[in-house]
Amino acid sequence: MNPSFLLRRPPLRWPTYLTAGLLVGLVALLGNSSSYGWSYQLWDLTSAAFHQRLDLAGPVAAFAGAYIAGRLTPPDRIFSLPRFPRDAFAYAASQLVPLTLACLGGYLLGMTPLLVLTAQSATYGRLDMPVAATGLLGLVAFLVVGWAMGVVARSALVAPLAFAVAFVATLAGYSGDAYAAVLPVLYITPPLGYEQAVPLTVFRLGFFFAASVLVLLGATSVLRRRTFGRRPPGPMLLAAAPLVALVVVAVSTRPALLQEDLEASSVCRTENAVEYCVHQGNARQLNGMIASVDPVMDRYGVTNAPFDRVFDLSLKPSVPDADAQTTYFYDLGPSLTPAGGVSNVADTLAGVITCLREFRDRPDAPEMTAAADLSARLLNGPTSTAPAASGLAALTEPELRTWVSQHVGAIRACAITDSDLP
Amino acid sequence: MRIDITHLSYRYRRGIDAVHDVDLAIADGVTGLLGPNGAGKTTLLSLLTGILKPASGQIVMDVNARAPQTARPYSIGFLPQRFSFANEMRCIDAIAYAAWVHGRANRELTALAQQALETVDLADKANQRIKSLSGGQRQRLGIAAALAHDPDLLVLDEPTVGLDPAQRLRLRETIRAIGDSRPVILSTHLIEDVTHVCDRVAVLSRGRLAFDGTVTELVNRAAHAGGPTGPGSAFERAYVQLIDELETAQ
Repeated sequence: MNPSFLLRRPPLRWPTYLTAGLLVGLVALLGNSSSYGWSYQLWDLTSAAFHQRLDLAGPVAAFAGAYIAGRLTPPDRIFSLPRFPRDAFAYAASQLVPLTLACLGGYLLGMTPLLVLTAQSATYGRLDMPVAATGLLGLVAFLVVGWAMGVVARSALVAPLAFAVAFVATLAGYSGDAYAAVLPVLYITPPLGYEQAVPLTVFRLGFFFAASVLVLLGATSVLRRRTFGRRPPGPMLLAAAPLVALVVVAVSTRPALLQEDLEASSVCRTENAVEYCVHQGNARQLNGMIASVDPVMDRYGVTNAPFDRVFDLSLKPSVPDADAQTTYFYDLGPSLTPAGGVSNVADTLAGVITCLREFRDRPDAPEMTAAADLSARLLNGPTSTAPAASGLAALTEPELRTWVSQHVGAIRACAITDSDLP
Repeated sequence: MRIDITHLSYRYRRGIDAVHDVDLAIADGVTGLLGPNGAGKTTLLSLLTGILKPASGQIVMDVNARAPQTARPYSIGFLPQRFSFANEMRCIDAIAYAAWVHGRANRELTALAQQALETVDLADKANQRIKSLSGGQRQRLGIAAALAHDPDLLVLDEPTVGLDPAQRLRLRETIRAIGDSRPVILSTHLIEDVTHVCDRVAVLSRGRLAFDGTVTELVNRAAHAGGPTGPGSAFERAYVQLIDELETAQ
């Protein structure tokens, strides 16, 4: 088979295939749109997007595959009569290669804006090629399965069913991680500090490749054996047997989804005796985090605080347990603003977190109110307009630090009473 | 080219002898395959085109008689009674794809498709979509698809069914012209197709070959036997008489 034929003269002319590719690209492009506004991107998220955008692109590809097969392979088609001498694989390739090229091209185009944004703004890592490849191979698997459905059904009317089946397959990822190894769309995205486990990725690549080849074998076997009469899709069932075996292996062994990213490094700065560190991927948020947290720490008094280190939550796996006791882990990410977590810092320092635990059933307890007032004061400074019945709002910064140092034990234990307040 | 069919038999699983011990020689020109419903015409065509494998007997094609300079295996163009196109395709694309599916090389496709379209007088429709064609044009396009790979043998199953008289007339001319360059087997129920197009006629009855000869020979046979007179052509009356004789004998 000369592949040039497949490109120069595909059976249905290029606009048909390009329409499918365009749709696949469009849904990928729109699917990523929520992350276009982020201040920076992470390669881990972008890599994962390659399979996660199959949530709609996959069903569209399956629809296109079923449509092409339904239009071209019914046995009464004059160019598809039983016992045609051209090799069935070549025949399948004549239809699938142009469609696959168009859909992969469209998909890559749809992913391009996210790739460009990530290349421009990411401060750590690189595209995880094997993970991205699972997305591309998953797309091919969707195409082949849809095409096989069209071959077996002998009608393009099966295309909506192919879409529905593929859509259900993508939704199945939400059911948990039991089938993560075999489902095209993996909804678990590795947070910074982790990466998708290599064995899982390798298995997924192998599975999607095997699935594509086996389903293609089954479909071409149907093409070879068929006559004008209907036959049960026996070859398809034979092709499904090894796939079922692979699924059983995957489900019973449940490979780990994530592994620690051993290459991860941190970016740190010490400010007013507090060490601030972020994951290299969140480096753009270090200054913002310091600018948000430092005033709160200053008002509370660094010597009074239960921690003298504020670390990006992404660094938690790399921090020894002993050090973790004196470390505050700050939630950062490209979809979060650096100031977003500072109220939690204030709540932690003011004992609100402890109070929420101690007075879960009594939100109006005086201790709870006192802790909330202290948290508000830490956040807003002396010019606060927040309610300040306790008088904390009237204290100057040195007075506040002194008061905290006198009551630090009670604050941490959520035991501040009205009599303790200034 | 010459096709020798010797002792060819096929039996369906339910025990019906669809074709039984058929001997038939087919040479260039159009050979009509006639017979009542269930006579085994479609089964014989399926055996000829390789869709079915014979239970016994053989089909030998002497390709070298047609093209002694080529060493390629024989090829068959087949137009089944019921066939379809993908309507959104352009005529030339469908024919080129048919040629490719039948194993022709990429570089030949455009020329082959154009030649096939010219043969069926559809060259001016080459770039039109198939959905714009009339019934007769689609039938001729089907023949073009069967011819696209320049087969050694063309097998047509009821190609004129459903066509209006003008379309039928035109299609007959097309088939007649194709028969000048290669053997054509024309299976039909329509006596007129045979009398206007065929050089030879083979009549099947209950899976057996009941007659093999020219149209004139069948008419003469009936005349010698004092066949019926009345409405219809001489060939029509001769064919009906033959079938009646066979029915009576069986």
